[in-house]
Amino acid sequence: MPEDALLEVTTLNKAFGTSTVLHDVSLTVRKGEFMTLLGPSGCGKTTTLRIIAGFESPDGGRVRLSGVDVTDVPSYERDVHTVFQHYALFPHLSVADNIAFGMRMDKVPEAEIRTRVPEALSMVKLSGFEARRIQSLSGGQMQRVALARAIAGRPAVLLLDEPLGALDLKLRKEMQLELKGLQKRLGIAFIYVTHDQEEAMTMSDRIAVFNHGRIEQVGTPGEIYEMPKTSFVADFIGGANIFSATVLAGAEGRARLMLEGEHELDVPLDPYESLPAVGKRVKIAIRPERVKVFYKDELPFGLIRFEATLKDTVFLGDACQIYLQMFKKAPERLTIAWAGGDRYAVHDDLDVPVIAAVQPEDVYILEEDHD
Amino acid sequence: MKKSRGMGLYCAGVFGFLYLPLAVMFVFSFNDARRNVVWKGFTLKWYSALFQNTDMMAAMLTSVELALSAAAIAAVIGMLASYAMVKHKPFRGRSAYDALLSVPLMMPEVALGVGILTFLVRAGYELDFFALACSHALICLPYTIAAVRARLISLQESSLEDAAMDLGATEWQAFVKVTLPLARPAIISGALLSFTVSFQDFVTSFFVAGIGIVTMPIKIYSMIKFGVSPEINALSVCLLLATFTLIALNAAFAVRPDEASRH
Repeated sequence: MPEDALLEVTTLNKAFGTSTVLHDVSLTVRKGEFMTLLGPSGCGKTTTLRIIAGFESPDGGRVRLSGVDVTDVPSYERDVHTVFQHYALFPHLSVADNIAFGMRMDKVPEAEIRTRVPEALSMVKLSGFEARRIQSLSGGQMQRVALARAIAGRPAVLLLDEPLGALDLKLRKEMQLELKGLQKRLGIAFIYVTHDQEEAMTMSDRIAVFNHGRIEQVGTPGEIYEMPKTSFVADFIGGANIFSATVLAGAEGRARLMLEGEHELDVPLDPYESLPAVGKRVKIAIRPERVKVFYKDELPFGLIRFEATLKDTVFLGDACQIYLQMFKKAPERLTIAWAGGDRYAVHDDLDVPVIAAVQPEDVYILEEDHD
Repeated sequence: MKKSRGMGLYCAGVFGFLYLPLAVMFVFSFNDARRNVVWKGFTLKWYSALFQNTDMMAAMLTSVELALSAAAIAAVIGMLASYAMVKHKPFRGRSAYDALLSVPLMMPEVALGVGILTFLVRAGYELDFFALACSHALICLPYTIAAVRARLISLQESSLEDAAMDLGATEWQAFVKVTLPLARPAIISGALLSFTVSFQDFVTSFFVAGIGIVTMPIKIYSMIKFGVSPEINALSVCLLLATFTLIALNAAFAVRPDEASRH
């Protein structure tokens, strides 16, 4: 475990009735880190958060906070506060009383509360809102009050359960940057749950990608994007073309693969990747934006070259999506490529022969899936 | 136009059917005649006779005390029962528990009255005021639970108790500082309903009231045995006004949409 570990979660298991929702989830969050738990709904990210908050107890595994085992400590004695998905503000209390609630429970002197409430409000840019009723606030303002209430008690860790889910897109984008800025200023570790991969990429120091109750990969946004370990991660973050391949040979950090039984290619391995056994079937991923489409056979040196047929193009405004048929044995299997937003650079003629090309290092060999 | 006029007539018919008998009673409570059927002129003498009738006033007081006690008992038990139903994870026999709590609503009151009476006599418990108040609380309970449970479910969905505990409140503090104040309008509304149910109850009181306990409905029943006096019309009008007041209060206390926490 790293020395600056603040929160350690080890081999959490949890089942509701007969369905297992968490399977050996282990995670370390460092001091002052913005950690995002990312995954589709029902992947276990919210359950993990609720276990850290103390609202659920795990069937197995431990939660340690600042080196102390808090697995059996009730939520009200944990130095952890939560920003709830639907804010959970107390409608019978004013904005100031909502923010003071936690401090009053902790028996903070009233004089100190009177200075800390405006402080918390100014941090979320709601100065002067002390006396307002919760019912009179807009969604974005309620979001900010919920945030102020959670940070006012200065917890060691702040948990955020899809806090921006109910806001409209423009406000969400603004709040993303603001939250990130606030987190850096406060130096509190944030554990942020979301299903929005773009949100995760924008805000996080590190991302833990969840799927079916397991963590598939933990890493910085760059690592997750550039070196996805599993087909789920590759596909969930940014989208990917996933193919199956057979290992033909391998040596000195390179592997020779037979792609979908018809294309041979030679790819470098990432430093952490071990050499797969010869003859093994693996999955590989190629990012759509790394697939280059050429209309004439004049490739730069060093690219892997595929003969392909142009099947469809979709103009998306900032980019163009191109569907290619690359495999004769599996013609229904289309490869997606991205081109820049210049729509005139993309041909309108369909069913014409083109050349698709990728850099060898843009081909990732994936680990086996769990299921 | 034609259609809405038809609808208007239909509505007038329904309201007439519901309220015409009450209107007749209201008018004849001011009728200066012993016999009800003929209008002889306006008078308030039946009202003054009513308020000078000490038996009648005593019965009124008994009914009010009884209704207050029953409403209070039902409010406490109803709140706790609803809290248990909403708060606890599904347990074995929970649907039976839910159903049993609303049985008094569907059960013939005669059966309930006989049952309570038999039980109390068997148990050797004297048929006193407290026994009657508890019996009334029993028939009020489904109303309290209906009012409170709906409110608690919406509170539960907005994770307010979780939020309170997350901020350092113990389970008890979360209940007292968050759940109880937010459930208060529903508790009051349930209590007002209970008050009306208890106040107008005849059947259960008829079975369970011991000697010397005369509630208002029992008093009216015993007076009718000697013929319908216009005094009874006056009394009924008073009861009617009291009931309308309670219904209006209940509407005022009912949870307004903006009071419920937003989702």
